[in-house]
Amino acid sequence: MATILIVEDNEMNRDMLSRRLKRKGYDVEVAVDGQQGVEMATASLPDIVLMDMSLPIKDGWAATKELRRNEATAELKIIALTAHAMEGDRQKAMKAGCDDYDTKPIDLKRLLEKIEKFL
Amino acid sequence: MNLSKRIALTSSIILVFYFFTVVVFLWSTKVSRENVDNLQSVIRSQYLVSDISQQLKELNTRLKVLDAVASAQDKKELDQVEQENLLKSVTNIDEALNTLRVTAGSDLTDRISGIESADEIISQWKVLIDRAEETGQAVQIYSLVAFGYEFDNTGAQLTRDGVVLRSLSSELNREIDESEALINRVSMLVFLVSALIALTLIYSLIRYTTKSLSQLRIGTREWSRGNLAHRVFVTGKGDLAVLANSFNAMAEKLDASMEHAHEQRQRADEANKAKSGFLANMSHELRTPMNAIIGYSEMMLEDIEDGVELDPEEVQADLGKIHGAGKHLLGLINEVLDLAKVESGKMGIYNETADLQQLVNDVTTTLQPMISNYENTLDTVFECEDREIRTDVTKFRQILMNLLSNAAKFTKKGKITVTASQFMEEGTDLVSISVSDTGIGMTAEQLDKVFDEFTQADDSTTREFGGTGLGLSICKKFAELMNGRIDVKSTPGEGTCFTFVVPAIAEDIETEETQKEQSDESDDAKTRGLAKVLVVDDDESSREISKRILSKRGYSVITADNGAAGIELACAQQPDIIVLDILMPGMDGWQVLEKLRDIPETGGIPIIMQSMLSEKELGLSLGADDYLTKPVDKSDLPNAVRKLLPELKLHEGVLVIEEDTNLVGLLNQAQGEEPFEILQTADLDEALQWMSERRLGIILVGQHSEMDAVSKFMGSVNRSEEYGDTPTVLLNSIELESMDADQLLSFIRIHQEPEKASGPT
Repeated sequence: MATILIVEDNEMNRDMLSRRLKRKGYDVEVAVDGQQGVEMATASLPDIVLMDMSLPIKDGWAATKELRRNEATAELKIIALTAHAMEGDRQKAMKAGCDDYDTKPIDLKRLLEKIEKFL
Repeated sequence: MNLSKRIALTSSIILVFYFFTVVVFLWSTKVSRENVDNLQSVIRSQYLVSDISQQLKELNTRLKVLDAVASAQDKKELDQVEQENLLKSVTNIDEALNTLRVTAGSDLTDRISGIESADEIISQWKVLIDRAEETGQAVQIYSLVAFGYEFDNTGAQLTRDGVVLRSLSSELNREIDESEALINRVSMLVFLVSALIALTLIYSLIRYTTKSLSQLRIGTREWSRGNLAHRVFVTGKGDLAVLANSFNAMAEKLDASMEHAHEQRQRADEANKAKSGFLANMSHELRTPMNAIIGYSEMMLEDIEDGVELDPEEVQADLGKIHGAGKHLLGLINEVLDLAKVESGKMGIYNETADLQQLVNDVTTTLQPMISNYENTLDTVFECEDREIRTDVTKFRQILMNLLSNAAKFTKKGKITVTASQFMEEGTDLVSISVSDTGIGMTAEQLDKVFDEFTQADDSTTREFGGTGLGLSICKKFAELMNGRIDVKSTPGEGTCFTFVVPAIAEDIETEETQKEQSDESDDAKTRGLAKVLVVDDDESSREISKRILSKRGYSVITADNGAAGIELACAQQPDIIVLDILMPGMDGWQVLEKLRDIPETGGIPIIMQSMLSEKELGLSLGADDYLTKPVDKSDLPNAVRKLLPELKLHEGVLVIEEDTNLVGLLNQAQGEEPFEILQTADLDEALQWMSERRLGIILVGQHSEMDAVSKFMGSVNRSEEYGDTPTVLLNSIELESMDADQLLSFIRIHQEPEKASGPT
């Protein structure tokens, strides 16, 4: 089964999303900040990374860039999952190296479609 | 020197030189005339001298001839004829000598030596001839001839004199020539000098003007190119220098205002940026709790749909999260609304009296859990005795909560101190609450922006500590609304101290509502077809109060400040009600009442007397319809007016034709002691149906998309025999927006009275 790494600082959102994804049958790992996200992604090389952008210690854009720079994680599928939903936020995420972008509040059906596309 | 002075000076110098020229001309004319006169007398004298000399010569010759003839004839005496001739000649010479003397003048006469000797001869001759005539004897020739020598001598002398005179005349001629030449030279010199000076002055004038103007031209060019720092330099204190200074001042002002505009634009740009940032931030902040709400609720719905057995504890926890996120959202929305209200100037201040110590303790108690959460300790210090304050307690509390929760948020394992004190400043009794912490503190740069809207210390703060960046700007705005202030001091790493100062006893200010009341009076759109009330009162303030109270209730109010004017207005305007004061100078209220009752046009108008005097019975007996004793309560007058207006005939229902519910809403608000039925429809056929079923009080038409059809409908209803008596009134959107329930009722009332009805019915 596919492994999904959720990088999310908000406890409720982390809890909610991981539970919902687990129910859909995915293996879910969670990281609470950008730094931890990079470390876990490098260690476990998940199939999909769901990356929040506003994160403490290291934000989602910086974490994504770092993952792209490292050879081992350069090809990871990263989906930006953010409450930054203003004009230009999508471009900003894509420019940082994300493969796709989705906004909060999460439309699970849409998110799952995006995840399945990469699997 | 200014320009006009320069021109005046130049012109006067030119005038002075012109004057000199004229003086020189006059002087030269005089000199030449004198010279010519001299020359003339010399020439004439010269002529006279030669004439006298000639005559003397001739006389001498004749004497010699006579002598010769006499010696030849031995005749010693002259005959009579000869003697007369001689006498004549002598007289002629004498006359000529006299003429010469006159012509030559005394100066010249002295220089003509021959005159004297000629005079002598002539006088001796005259003596001889006179003596002969006295004795009656003839003149002896010899005695005459004896003068021969003197004759010759005198002749020679006169000849010499002639020569002298000739040389004198040529000398004079030369002098005339010379003086003329001199005069010419002087005139020329004066002319040249004055012309030169005039030219110099004109040149300097032109040069100064041109130079100054070119400076100004250069200045304006520079300014138009945007170089507003350029300054025009014009010397002196003249008009042009003044003009240049004005230009410089203008440039300076322009420069300052450009800078100001630039700053403003920059500020606007920054504000715009902050607003976009705020929107993005808000969007982010709203989406985050929304994510939890939607996510958890969807999850629970899925569980129910899938028939999963629910674990009550899990459900409770998840519902708790949804609830928490919802509350967080509500808090956010309230903050945004607060800010919007403050920004649009609609945030009112409602002062209450409260106990300072209790107020502060309430807030600290509320926030104690949050403070303890980060392992902080809280000290509350009262530096003043317990006292009452009058302020907007809600806002006071909100500010204090915000400051204290900020302190709690940004401090970990530290100490938070709340200090309350009071002091006087510029005669105002102030209370001050300071909240200091030992938290992360702020840099000077962050301090600068701490009260700016939509700004937090930096983006990472938002992520770490949450919030919208609105709390402090709302606090600051609230404090300002309360005539107070919030100051902040901070050192990074050491802590922050916010101090909130407000007047201890706030002055109650006029609220927006009372302002609105006042502005209502001038709103003409509302008064169409409303009952008209005439207020007759000499006291301006009570007249205005009556007017305001009645206008607010939807009456159209006209006023008069004395009895006579009141009667005139009543006749001309035919009000529905007259409100009459009794104590007025001139014609008092009783007299006015009597007059109004006597006049046929006003006899039937209901009259309300209003006075300090308690003469109700007298008033009613004299024909007043109601009597109010001042001071009247706010609602007394409108109630009295309403009582006297025709009854509302609404018991059978009001038909409302409109597509929205504006009119129905107003009518519902107006439902009072006698409820009436409201029938609403947008369908004209249904309206007709209702009209046929019952007798309606009035038909009101509001907003409808097919106004053409509605107008036709109204027209046919008005013309029809069956429904023509039912008033049908169209209210336009302006009236609908501005009318309140009371006004609508009085509007209906007036339209139920056919002779008073106006507007499109």
